Parts: sequence; C-alpha cells; structure tokens
Amino acid sequence: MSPKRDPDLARRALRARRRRDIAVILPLLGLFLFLSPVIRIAQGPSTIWGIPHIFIYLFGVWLILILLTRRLSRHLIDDPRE
Amino acid sequence: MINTNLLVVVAITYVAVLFAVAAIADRQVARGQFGWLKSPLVYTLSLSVYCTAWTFYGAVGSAVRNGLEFAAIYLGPTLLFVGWFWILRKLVRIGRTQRITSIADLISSRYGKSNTMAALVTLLAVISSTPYIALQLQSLTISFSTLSAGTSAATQTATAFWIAAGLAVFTILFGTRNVDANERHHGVVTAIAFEAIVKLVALLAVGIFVVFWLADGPSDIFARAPENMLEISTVSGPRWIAITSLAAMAIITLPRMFHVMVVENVDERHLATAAWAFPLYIFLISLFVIPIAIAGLSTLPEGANPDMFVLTVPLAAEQTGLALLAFLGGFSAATSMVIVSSIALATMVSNHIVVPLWLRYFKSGPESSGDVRGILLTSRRFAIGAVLALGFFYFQVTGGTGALASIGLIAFTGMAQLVPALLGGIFWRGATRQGAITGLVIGALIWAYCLFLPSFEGKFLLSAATIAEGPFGIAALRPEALFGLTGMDRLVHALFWSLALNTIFFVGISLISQPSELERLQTALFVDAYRQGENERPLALGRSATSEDLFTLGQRILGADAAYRLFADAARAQGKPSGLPEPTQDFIASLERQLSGSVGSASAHAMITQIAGGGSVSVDELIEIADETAQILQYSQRLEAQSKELEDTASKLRAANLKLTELGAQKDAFLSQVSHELRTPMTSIRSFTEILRGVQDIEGSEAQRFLSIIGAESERLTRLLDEILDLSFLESGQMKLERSAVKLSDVIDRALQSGTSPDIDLPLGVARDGEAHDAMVLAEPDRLHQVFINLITNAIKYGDPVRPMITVSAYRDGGRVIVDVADNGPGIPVEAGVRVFEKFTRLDPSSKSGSAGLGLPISREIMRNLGGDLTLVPSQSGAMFRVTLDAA
Repeated sequence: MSPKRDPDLARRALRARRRRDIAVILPLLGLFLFLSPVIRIAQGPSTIWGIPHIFIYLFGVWLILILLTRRLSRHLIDDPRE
Repeated sequence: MINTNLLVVVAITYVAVLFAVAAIADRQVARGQFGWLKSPLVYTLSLSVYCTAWTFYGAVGSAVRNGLEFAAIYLGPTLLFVGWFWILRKLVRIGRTQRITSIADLISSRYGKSNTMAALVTLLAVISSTPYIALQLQSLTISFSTLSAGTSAATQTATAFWIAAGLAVFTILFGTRNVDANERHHGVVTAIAFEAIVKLVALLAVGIFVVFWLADGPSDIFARAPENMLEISTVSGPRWIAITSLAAMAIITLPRMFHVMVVENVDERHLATAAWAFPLYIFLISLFVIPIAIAGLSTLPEGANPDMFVLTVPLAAEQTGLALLAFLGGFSAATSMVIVSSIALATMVSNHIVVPLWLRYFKSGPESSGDVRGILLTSRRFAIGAVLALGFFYFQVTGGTGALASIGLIAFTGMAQLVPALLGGIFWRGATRQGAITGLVIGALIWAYCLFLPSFEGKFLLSAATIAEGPFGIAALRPEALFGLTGMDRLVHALFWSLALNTIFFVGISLISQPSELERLQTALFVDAYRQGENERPLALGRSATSEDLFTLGQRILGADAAYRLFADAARAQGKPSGLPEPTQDFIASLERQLSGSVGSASAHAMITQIAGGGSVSVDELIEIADETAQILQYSQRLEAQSKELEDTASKLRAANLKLTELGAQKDAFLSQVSHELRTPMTSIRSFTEILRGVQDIEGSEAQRFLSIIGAESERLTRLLDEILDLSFLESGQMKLERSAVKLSDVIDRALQSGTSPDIDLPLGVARDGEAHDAMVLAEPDRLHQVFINLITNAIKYGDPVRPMITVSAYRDGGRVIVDVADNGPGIPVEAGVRVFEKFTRLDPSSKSGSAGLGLPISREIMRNLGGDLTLVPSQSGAMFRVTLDAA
C-alpha cells in the first residue's frame, strides 16, 4: 500500500485499470522490440564506447523492461480487484 | 591444472555446506520460524533453477557458435515474467487453490482429474527430462576432467556415477522427508537459493575478470571479437523467434520450473517481486557471456571446447582460485537442476503412475490397513533413484554426444507440447479432455519422430538411413523434412509441425467432443480461478459416504495426527463439539482437495470415488458452471442486494440525523427556558434588594414585606433548581428507586391532605370511585406521594375556579393498579396532550401556577422509574391523568 493513496475513488479506479492495461502492453512491447524486424535498426559495425550497437540495444531494452516491470508490479499486486 | 584430490575435497566440502543449509532451513521450519525462508528473495533465487549447467557452460559455447542467439533462451522467460499478471499469476492462483502438486496434476485436474492425462504428461516429462539430466551429469564430468586434466574415461564414468549417487542421497534426504499436504520442501528450496547465489557470483566474477583484467574494459574486449560474431542474423529470423517462444513456453511447462514457481510458492505476492527480480537475475547471468566467449576465442588455442570456456579462460590465465569458483558455480547449476527435477519427476511418477496402479491392483477398500503414505514415500525415493539412474545410463549410452545447447532445446520442445492443453485449459471454457489428449499425443509423437529420435544420430530406433531418406524411402516422411517441408532449421521444423498439429487437433477435437460433468466443474474452477473466492462455497459433486470410511482414508494418506486435526476442525465448523463431521458434499470436496495435495488430484479423486461413488452435479450447479449469463446475473443480484442495504443504512442515518437535530433544538429550548425561569425570581430579588439598600427612610413593616418577598423568591429559586436537578437525575437513569409494598389509600390520603393546604380557601370536593383504594402497590412511598401531590395541586389549579372538584378512581387491571385523577376544569385540548409532559410547559401563560412547569415531567419520570407510567387520558370534561402501578 502506498502511503499517498488518492482519495478520489474514480481516479484510483482509472489508474488501476490503466496499470492493468500496461501489464498487457509491456510484454507485447517486449515482443515487438525483440522479435520484430525493428531489431535490425541496431545492425552494422558501429559502436558506442567500443560496444556494438546490437549488444547495447538488446541489453538496454532488456534492462528497461525490467525497470518498468518493477515500477508496475508493486502497484498491481496491491490492486484490490481480483 | 588443479590436483584431483583438491577438487574432490572442494566439491565434497561444498556439498556438506549444502546439506547444512538445507538441514538448518528444515529445522527452522519445523520450529515454525519461517522468517526469511518465506521472503520473495528466496522465491526469486529458487526460480534460478532455470539456469542449469547448460546456461553456465553452454551459453558461452552457444555464443561462440551462434553469437547473440543464446540470449533468446533468457528473453523468452523475461517476456513471460514481464507479463506475469496474465499467465503466471493465474497458474499460481490455481496451483494454490487446487493444491496442485505438479504440471501433470494441473493438466489432469483441469481435464476432469483424468489419470490417463496425468500419466501421459508424466511419461512425456520423464522422456524429455532424461537427456537433460544426463546433460548435467555430462557437464559436471567434463568440468571435472577439464580442471584436473587428462583423466581416463574410466575415471570419468566413476565421477559421473558418484555425482549421480550423491545427488540421489541429497534429494531423497531432503525431498522425501514427509508427504506434505502442500508438497513444499523448504530445505531444498533454501539450498537451491544458496546455489543460485553461488552460480551468479561465479559467472559475474569470471566475466569481470575477463573484461577488466584480461582486457582493458568493454571496448577492448569487443575489439577482439571475431568479425561475424554479432551478426544481426543471429537475433532475427525464424530460429530466433522459435527459441524465444520455446523458452517462454518452457518456463511454465518444465517440471522443475513448475515445481519451484507454482508448487513451492508460499505467497502469491512473491510473484510480483520475481516478475522483475528473476529477469534481472538472468540479465546478469547473460551479461558477460559474449565477453567470455570472445576472451576464449582470442586467448585459447584453436580447437578448445567452447562449452568449457568459463573454466578454461581463468585456468589459462593461471587464476586457479577463480577457476575453482567457476567450477563451484557450474557444480551449483547442475546439482540444483538435478535435485529439483528429480523431486518434481518423482512426485509425478509416484502420484500418477504408482498410486493409480496400486489402487487398481491392490484395491481392497478403504477398510484395509495399508498405509498409503509409506507407499508414496517409498515410491518417491525409488523414483528419484530411477530418474537419476536413467540420466546416468543415457549419458553412458550416448557417451556425451552433441553440444550442450541442442539437448536442452530438445527437452524444451518436448515439454512445449503441454502448452496448448495448459493455456487452453486455464483460458478456454471449451477445451475438453479428448481434445487435450489427442493434441498432446500427436504433438509428442511428432516431437519424438522429428527431433528427439534423430538426435541419437541413428543409434536408437531410427536408423541413419531413415533419418536421411525417410522410412521405406518415402521422402514425404523424412523426419527432418516432414511432408516435404524442406529448407528449415531442424529445431524450427520440429517445433512448427509438432505445435501446429498439436493445437489443431486440440482445438478441433475439443469442438466436437462432450465434456463430462466433473470436467465442467473443473473447467469452472480453472477458467474462473479469480472469481472463486476462498470463502465462497466451492462447487461440489453430490456424493455420499460414511464419516468413518472418510476418516480411515484420511488417516492413511495424511497420517493420524493431521487427519484427526482436519476432521476435528471440520466437525467444529459444522457446529459439532466432538466426534466426526457430517459427510456433507462440501466436506467430501474439501477432503479431496486436501488429499490431492499429497497424492495428486486424479488419485485423490479415484480414492474418494471408491468410497463415495462417482457423484453427479445438480442441474442448478451445471447451470451455474456453464452459463456465463447466469453468473453475471448472480453478480448483479448481489450488487443489487448490496445497494439496497446501502440505501437502508442511508435512510437510517438520515432518521438518526433528524432525531439528533430535534434533540439539539430541544436542548437549546430547554436551556433558554431554564435561564428564563431562573431570571424571573433573580430579577425580583435584585430589585427588592436595591430598594432596601437605596431608600433610607423605609418603614419597618414595608421592609419586612420586601424581605419576605425576597425570601419567597429565593425559596422558589431553590425549589426550581432542586426540580431541575431531580429531573436530570431521573432522566439520566442514575437514580434507582427502591420499591416496597405500599397501601394506596395511605398515599392518596396524605397527598389530599397536603395538597389541599389551608392557604387555599376554596371548598374542595373530593370524590372516590373504584374498588382498589385499599390495594397494596409496589412503589417508593415518598416519591409516589410527590406524584399525587403534583396531580392534586394541578387538579385544583386547573379545576373549576369556583367549585373545584377532584375525582380519584382506583381500579385493578390484571397485575396492575390504575389510579385516575380527574378535575372539573375546562380540560386539555387534544392537540396539547403531548406537550403537557414537556419541560417548562404551561398551557395557559396567564395561569396562576407558581411552578416552572416541571411537575408533570418529573412525575412521569418517577412513575416510569417505578415501573409504572403516567399518561393523560382523553376525557369528555376536565383533565384526567392516569397513574399505572404494579400491584404488590
């Protein structure tokens, strides 16, 4: 339970639904970024600080997904709706 | 190179530590101290059993061969965990509410607790896990020989054998300690979590060493990468997609993953932590795979085994300590996988193969004295041994062929055949048992034919010629180009055909077959898992059995103590203080759920059916299950009831509020009345005092008169205050009047005497009526006297001004005595009837009353306090007050 709950029930319900929507979208976003041809934008021999683009792309997207899930999960499990 | 003896000592010490960790955790649980054992961290770390030796050693090998492709194995699970809210949460919820013991149990339970289904899944799991376990033994052996260099083949076999034996001992010791109603093993889970830390630390240590010691940071290491290593083609295309989805499917179907994720889950909230923490774990595991691969390729001689780079890179740099740590990491990865896999497989084998066989062939009714628990434990111990032995023999027969990674993917593809039945089962109402079994069998056969058997390269069942040319030379049936589908990767080809046909048959047969009643019941429980609140009455089959038979059965499976507790609790819940509970449908259903926590749902159902009969579902319940509209209707009815309840509460609140407002107004009126009443005598006292003080030449008699007025006013003031106090005392209920037997006529006579005091010089007429004047009543004499005085003085005051007349009538009315006091005055108008009992009420403002209008309220309070009442009786002429009393 976060200490600063919005007293407005309607807004809270809206936010809870939005969180559930994000919970569906997040894995789909992952699918899109990893499995679609979009991954090809990182091809080529160019590097950032000596690290190939594709490596940074793969692990960067991975880490961002982890951080987003972390933000989302805590609120999702406290959602009173089953 | 490291001395073999040292290596053995290190390995044995490490195993001893593992034993200690598991033993300590088990002991803490036995004492009821869960503490950190139940933390989400331990749960997350135990999930890392996904990372086996295949990850630890094989990922680097895979990176050498296929670049970034290895990452797909970890991205699949990451995506599934990121979307945990949709699939994983439902699995865990179902696993907890239905007391699921394994993946086979879950699937069979959903499809009508079918034993065939459970046995099929168990068989598939054993077949596809065996090579996987062999793979762990193989990597352990290879790592052992790599470190100690140049061991003979015989030593290798011996190593593998002793490792398998040691693992069997550990698993049997901690995995089959008892038949737990929840099938949880805290000791094992804690040991696995410990191993998870070891392997992560080991891999990170090697990675950091490679990047920052061997090379000068990331840019240097990537500069050494072979040209084609990070080709974009390794992270796109059909194989990349296939492996990613395969890994996502594997994480829910692999027996060991299902075991740690669903069966060992102690709190659903842990999943929310694992949702990001487990992806983070595998992210860290994967981070240094490419650098280690590059380092191996650039520093080690051509032809070195890439699957062992994690060991050989530090070894070549003469970092013996680091190499030992890496060895322990690989050791952890392999052992944790083998331990959990064998527990999960042994549970499945004993619950779904041994117990059903025992039930069929040694069926002697529930009265027999056999202890099922003993059979369960023994069969599990044997099953663990057998699973490990199978792995060992597989390793011996194949001699450790093939790269590590391909064996893992073969196992993944085998278990992926469960996915249509599993996901269909928890999301699709229409999925039926026939559909699931057909799909599973067809998918498994194609998997075996196209992927599993060809992996033996002609040594087992399929000859090399058959693999190359097809059976009997039929090209359309070539295992690796089925129906002429050529030009595909072997794995993608097998995955495509097996899953596609599996799904098509699953859906097709489901659409044309009829589910049984039990199956419909289970469908409702699974598909609507979130709607089944734990306190709601679960759906149950209508069955009957005697409590004694049920108790015997419970004892044999749960043990005497646990069964006694369960039955005693149920009896208490039914309101029976002692003895066995009534064998209601609900109780039978809950007992079956308890038993299924030990022996799996199919066996539990079979056992209960033996004594309670198959049972049937009532029409109402069928409607409830099948008809979603009915459910929605029910839901809206509940809502309606709730809103009605709310409305009721609101109207009650409104009424209470109204009353409060009224009371507040009354209180204000009372206060203003009181101050007004007090002010009148105060004013006259003050003015007369002023006169006495201000005027000097005042006559003595005049002064005397003023003083007597002041005295009278003070008396009135005192009386008023007394009355107010009296009333507030009476009203607050603090005063308790003592009742005693009093003769009514005594009190009335006395009141008439003092009421008609000499200063009233009117001739007062008193008439008596009724038969009860001599009755004895229950009252406090002085107080009753006070009431009558009040009534009589009122009667005189408001009676006829010339010839006042009082009529006192006394009657009996059952156990009560009624006294009416009437006058011959103008009477009280009906609409003023209520107000006479209000405080400070004087009906006629000009009346000659000297009192403050508290007499009647006080009298009524006294009467009520005495257990009687004082009321105004409507009458033709004059006012009539009625006193009701208890007769003595």
